[in-house]
Order: sequence, then structure tokens, then C-alpha cells
Amino acid sequence: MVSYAFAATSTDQTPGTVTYASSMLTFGASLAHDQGYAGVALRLYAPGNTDTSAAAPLDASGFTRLRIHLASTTDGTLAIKLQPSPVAADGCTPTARAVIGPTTAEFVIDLDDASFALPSYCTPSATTLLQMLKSLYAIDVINDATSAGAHDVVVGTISLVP
Amino acid sequence: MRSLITAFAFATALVPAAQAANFFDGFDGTGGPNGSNWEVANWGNGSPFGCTFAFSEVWLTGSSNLVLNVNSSQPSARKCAEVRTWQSFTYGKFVVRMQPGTIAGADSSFFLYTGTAGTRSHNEIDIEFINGGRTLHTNVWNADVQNYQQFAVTTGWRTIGFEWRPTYVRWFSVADNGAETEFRRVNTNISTPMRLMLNHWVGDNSTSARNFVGQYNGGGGAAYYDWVKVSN
Repeated sequence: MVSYAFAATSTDQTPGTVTYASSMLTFGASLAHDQGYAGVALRLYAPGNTDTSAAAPLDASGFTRLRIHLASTTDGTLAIKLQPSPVAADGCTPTARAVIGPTTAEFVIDLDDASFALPSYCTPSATTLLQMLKSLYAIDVINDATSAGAHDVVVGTISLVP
Repeated sequence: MRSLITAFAFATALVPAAQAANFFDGFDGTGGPNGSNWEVANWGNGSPFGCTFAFSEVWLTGSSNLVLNVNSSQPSARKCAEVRTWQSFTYGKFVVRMQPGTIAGADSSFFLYTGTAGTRSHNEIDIEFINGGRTLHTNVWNADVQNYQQFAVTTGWRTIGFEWRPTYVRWFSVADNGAETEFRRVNTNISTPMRLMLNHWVGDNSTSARNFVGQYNGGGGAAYYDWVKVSN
């Protein structure tokens, strides 16, 4: 697992540290001013992968659903991005969004094009979701709130369901 | 609950019809919904709907809930449910506490609507739960052009709404303590009065139905509505 944070004006953003409690990871940052884009994220690697080892993408094409525990104490939505190797630095990779609250809840998200679409700012990709799933490297959970103030992301268990 | 209804009924009487107005229904009582608030559909919409709206599938539980039911006891003549306010609204905050249905291939909803689909008269602002209640479909149709986004959600009771203003629509969830959390905002300029609608239906497994609400594999069940509130 790694954490990362980004902002249009990076000096406006003060990241915290990752904490772990009750099977949940929490990571947050504070923005001094409103941003054009910003986010805090946790990257959870597919089995057999770490942030330092050579990539060994997982063939997840046989799975139909993603089960994930999510929350945020600060905001109402989180993005869930399926990442290939190398990761899509521009965020243009299949992405689902979840309406979340401060209490951890389990979400069961279909691994299909309706649930995992490309963000609207991306140009259409020739890579299909199925191709993406054949080489799944990591799952990023991102709070992309841009308003001044504190923003966090809380992630618990992630599993793939046949 | 009844004092609230009285208060809102009084407020409603003071404002012109078809403009932003306060409205509340706590769905108290038994029998059908308040006929002065709601028109109950008793007709079929045709494809992609795989059922016919029927009076028989709309009732109050006696414990302050409205039921919109899908009845699949006769697969060749499935029944489902829809109500709409007699009153039209222009702008305001529209909030519902509801437990969406959990039938795969079904849709339980809370939305504003006017016009004829397929023409520029069509305007709509949507909260729709599809995919067994695990996907929230938000949409705004302005002159028949849509702008939608879907979200993963948990099943069960939730309080959720949208705010419609001259230059935007925003969607939000409401916590138990009343705090609102916005999760989507769209700049749009709909100004036509619209009626508030709730429905629960299954698709007919046509391509358009499967692409939207998913595959329907049979079965029925209810969506529950605890209350509906409109405010300025």
C-alpha cells in the first residue's frame, strides 16, 4: 500500500500520515485554498505486487464484482480506479464512484463498463475494461475533493468476487 | 408528523401553484396515498418498462411508509407502481427518505419530470436506484439532452435529495444528524415547472432496458418511502 496526494497548487496541500485502526486505513490532507484539482489517495496493490517489487499484474478477468469497505469523515464521494502497470498517471483508467459517509460501509460494485467508466475528461481508450482486468496491478481509492479544508479517505477490506 | 403536515399544508396554500413551494408527505395512515397530493398511475408506459403501473401496487403501510410494489405473480402481466404530485414545482430542494428496491433489473426512483421524451419539451432531474439497489443513477435532462453519472451505494434506508436552482442542480445525501453532503453538481438552466414522481418498475429485457436497469430475472418486491419533502 502507498498513499499519495496531489493538488493544482501543491504548496497549498498539507498531507497527513496513514493510520491503521479496526482494519481500516485512513489518509488525509488539508488544502489551504480551493483548487482546480486535488486529491488524497490510497493505492492497494493486487496480490503479488508491492510498491517496490517488479510488477506482476493479476488476471482478474474471472471476477465479476469488487467488494470494498469505504468511508470518509469529510466528504460524500470517493473514486475507485483500476490501475494497470505502469499506472495511469493522468487518471484515465476505469473508474467507479461511490457515495459514502463517515461510517464504514461495504460496497459491492459490478466489474462492468457501466460501473467502471473512463472519467469524462479522458479521450476514449482502446483498452477495454476486460483487458484492464486481465492485468490488474492496483486499486486506487481517491478523495478528489477540491475545496479548502480537510479531506480524507478510509479504506478497509478489498476483495474480488467471482 | 401530523403537525408538520399541517404546517406545510398551510404554507402551500400561501404560494402560487406551479412555483417553488413547500410540500411534505409523511405517508401516515393506511389505504392509498393522499389523493390531494398524488396522482397514482394506472397505465403502461411500454418498452423498456416490463410491467404496467397499477393502483393495486401502491399503498400506505400503517407505519408511515408508502409502498411502491412490483408484483410478478403473473409473469405475463407484471404490475408495478408510480405516483406523481398533482402540483408542479419550479426550483427548490427535493428530499426523500426511502429504502430502494433490491430486484435485479428494476428501478426505484425519486425524480422531477415534464414534457415528452424524445422532444425538446423533455426535462427531468433524477435519483434512480438500479442494479438491485446497489447503483445510484443521477441524471439531468435539459431539452432531451442528458447528463448522467452513476455511483456505487449501499442498500437500505437512506435520506437523499437534490437542489434545483436557475443555474445548477446538485445532489446530496443527508446524515442522521441532518448534515448534507453534496456528491454531484451540474450547471444547467432548466426553468420549466415539473411534477415530482416516484416509481418502482422492472425492465422488459430489451436492449435499452438491459443497458440501463440490467437483466431482470423475475421476482417482485417493494420500495419503501418514509417521507418526501420539498422546500425553498
